Amino acid sequence: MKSLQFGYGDHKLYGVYHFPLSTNSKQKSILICSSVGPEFINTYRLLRNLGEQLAKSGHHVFRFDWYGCGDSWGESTDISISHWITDLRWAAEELINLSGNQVFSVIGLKLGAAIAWCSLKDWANLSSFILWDPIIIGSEWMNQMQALHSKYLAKSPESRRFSSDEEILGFPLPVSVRNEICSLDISSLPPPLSQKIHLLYSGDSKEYEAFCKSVNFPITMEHLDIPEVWISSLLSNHIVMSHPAINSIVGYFNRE
Amino acid sequence: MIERVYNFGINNELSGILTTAEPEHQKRHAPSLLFLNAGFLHKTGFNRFNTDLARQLSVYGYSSLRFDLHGLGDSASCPPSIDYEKQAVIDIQQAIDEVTEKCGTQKCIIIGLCSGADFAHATAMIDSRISGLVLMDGFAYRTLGYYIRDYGPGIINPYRSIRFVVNRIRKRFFSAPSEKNARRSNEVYFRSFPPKKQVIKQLQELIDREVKLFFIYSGGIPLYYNYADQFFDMFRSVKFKGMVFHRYFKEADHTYTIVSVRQKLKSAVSEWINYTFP
Repeated sequence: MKSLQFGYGDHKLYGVYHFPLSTNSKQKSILICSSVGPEFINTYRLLRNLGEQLAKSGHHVFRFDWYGCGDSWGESTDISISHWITDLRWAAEELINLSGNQVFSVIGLKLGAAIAWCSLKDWANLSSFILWDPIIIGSEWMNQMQALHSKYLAKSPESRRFSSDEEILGFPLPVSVRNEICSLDISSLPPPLSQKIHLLYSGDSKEYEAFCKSVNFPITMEHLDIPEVWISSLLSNHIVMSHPAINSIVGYFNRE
Repeated sequence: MIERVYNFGINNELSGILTTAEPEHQKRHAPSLLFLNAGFLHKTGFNRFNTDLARQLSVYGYSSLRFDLHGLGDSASCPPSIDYEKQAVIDIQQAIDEVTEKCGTQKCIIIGLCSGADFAHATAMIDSRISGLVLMDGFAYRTLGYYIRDYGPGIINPYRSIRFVVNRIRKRFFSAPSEKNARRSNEVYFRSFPPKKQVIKQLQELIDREVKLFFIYSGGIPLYYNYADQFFDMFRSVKFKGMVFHRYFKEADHTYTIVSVRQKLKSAVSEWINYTFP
């Protein structure tokens, strides 16, 4: 595992390359796209462990922090989905350089899946795309996060006096980004030019079934038999861990 | 600001980011800074605090290293043969080697929250290169003032007294085991501290060594700390000799979730560093 910096000029990003730790005849190059804000922090360890397990199975793996998030450059307020769409393309180029493979796969978690969907629509060398509890309609996710933030404030009367409208669960959320996220609906966009798309979900299947029907591409679905951990972890500040989810994804790439 | 991402330590197992000011703005004689992990969080810190503060301090000319201890963030897993606390201190000392060498400084200030504060304290006891500590929600001991503030309102207010007794009875006799476990699992910040006498002795040693100390407590640890001057009541017997500063952010939770409150924390730490290590 090697930490590195990539990008251009004042738009430098932090990344971690997990080099293959075994030989695998079905070796893949896999790009992991995290979510943002509190979900980014709470799932960091989960995605690091996922990268580590995929590397142990012989795959090249690359993780990175979005601009304005984590250890990448940029203020926490200086964020936008259009920046992140560019970030993902740079991260893909970095993975191609590191692994030497032109073809790669993508795992996108929550909002990371939605950004990847937007970013990869014209990328021809995508082998497979895993959507993990993806955000299909941005406004619904935003409402969910806002409800959680309100719940947090209700529990923390001392903090409530200092909270502004442009923040959510510990992170600034400028109006422009809120609007960008709220206007996001990936079911209205064409699917990426991926050979395979696989959707992992841990909650209710109805929304995802409707999404898969609406997309003009055969998407395979897999239910993760784990509690839907995202929401509870955000309020309790617990980090998210899920061995079944990691095993499921590693199994998918080893079978592919 | 210049940021360099790299791995260091034995076998390059530790992941770190060195943040330095532009050469013409660097404070040549000021100590460098080291940011530690808080609990299981990676080096960016709680709500990106470490990243933001490292960059803010670089504007004032301070250089810093934020890094992941073994087993956290992007560093390698902890070797199974070594006790985790011992490994943490070894890692911090390697980070001090790294940051002092890279920045050309002799001394170092460590900034840590929660377990990070505990590890910072433990390392300062054995490493003379540490000239300052910023300890957030570190060691805390209940005092008489704590108990008065914790139980007082219930004793004075008869409704609260009745509610307290009813709740106690309900919890004792009618809570299902799973509910009790759930409550316990929510107490994420439940920690055990070393004996108070030992900490008092160690603090005095640090002060006598002229290590500058900044203790910061939040309103997010009501199990241990609930009023501004509790710090002075806890450590009444320590001779501070002007080496110790203290702040209490009652309005903050443990991880300073509210952005403006976190900004106040960043300002407090920046001002203390600027004032103490000009």
